[in-house]
Amino acid sequence: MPIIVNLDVMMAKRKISLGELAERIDLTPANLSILKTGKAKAVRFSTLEAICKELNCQPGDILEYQSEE
Amino acid sequence: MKKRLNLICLGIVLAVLVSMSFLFSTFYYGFKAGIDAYEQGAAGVEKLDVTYKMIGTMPTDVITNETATAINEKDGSTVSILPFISMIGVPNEKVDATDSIFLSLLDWMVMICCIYAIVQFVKMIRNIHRNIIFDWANVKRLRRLGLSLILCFCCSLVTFAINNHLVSQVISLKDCDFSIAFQFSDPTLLIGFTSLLFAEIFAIGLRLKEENDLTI
Repeated sequence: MPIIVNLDVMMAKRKISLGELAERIDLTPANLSILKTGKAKAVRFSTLEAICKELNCQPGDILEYQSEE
Repeated sequence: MKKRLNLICLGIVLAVLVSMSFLFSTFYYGFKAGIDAYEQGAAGVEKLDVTYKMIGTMPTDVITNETATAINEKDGSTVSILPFISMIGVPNEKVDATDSIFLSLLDWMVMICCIYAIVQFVKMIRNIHRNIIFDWANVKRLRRLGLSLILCFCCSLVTFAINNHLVSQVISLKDCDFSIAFQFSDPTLLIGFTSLLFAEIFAIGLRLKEENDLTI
């Protein structure tokens, strides 16, 4: 998929673990792991909002478009 | 939910059993005829050197049709009949060995396809009983079930067409053509395509479920 999830980069920048972030945004670690590894098919705006609020960043910092060519 | 499923399965099993009993009775009478012919041959009685072929006919003129006659045993009168599917004897020398082998192979194919379809159906029902419903394995089974039934129908159709061809070389009926059209009344083809349709519906549902499961 040409949409790249850079959640791991932002988490490393903010020095926050997956479990901690999952707890703060009220998501299961398994679901957050799916999002982090780029296996997710879609992201709800509410989830994106919670992540951005918690990591103090913009949606563009987490999601990136890369052409497949 | 399972109770209704069990009832439907019971209905299907009963329908298959009735159809199998018809097949077995046909097999039994054929086998008995073969044994009788062998015994008559051993006793020196001249045997009837024909093979019976199942054919389909299509009347060209239904109103004035006098395709065949039969004796009414109730009053001994001769009545006009309109046969759609008949068993007609063809002299053995008219059936060439290649045709016989090909027809036997087709019969085997039909049998294998039927057994394969039944196995796929039973496996799918077993999965559903184990609460494995929206699964790719079931989609694959439905697809295999549909394809095997369609193949089964195609083999039957070819057998029917060859039989019609063989019989048309020997006899012709007044106001009647030999036709394979009647074979299309067999529901196998319809059930095959319906299975494929259900497989696709299952596949669409599964893709939606996967997308929903992977929406975070």
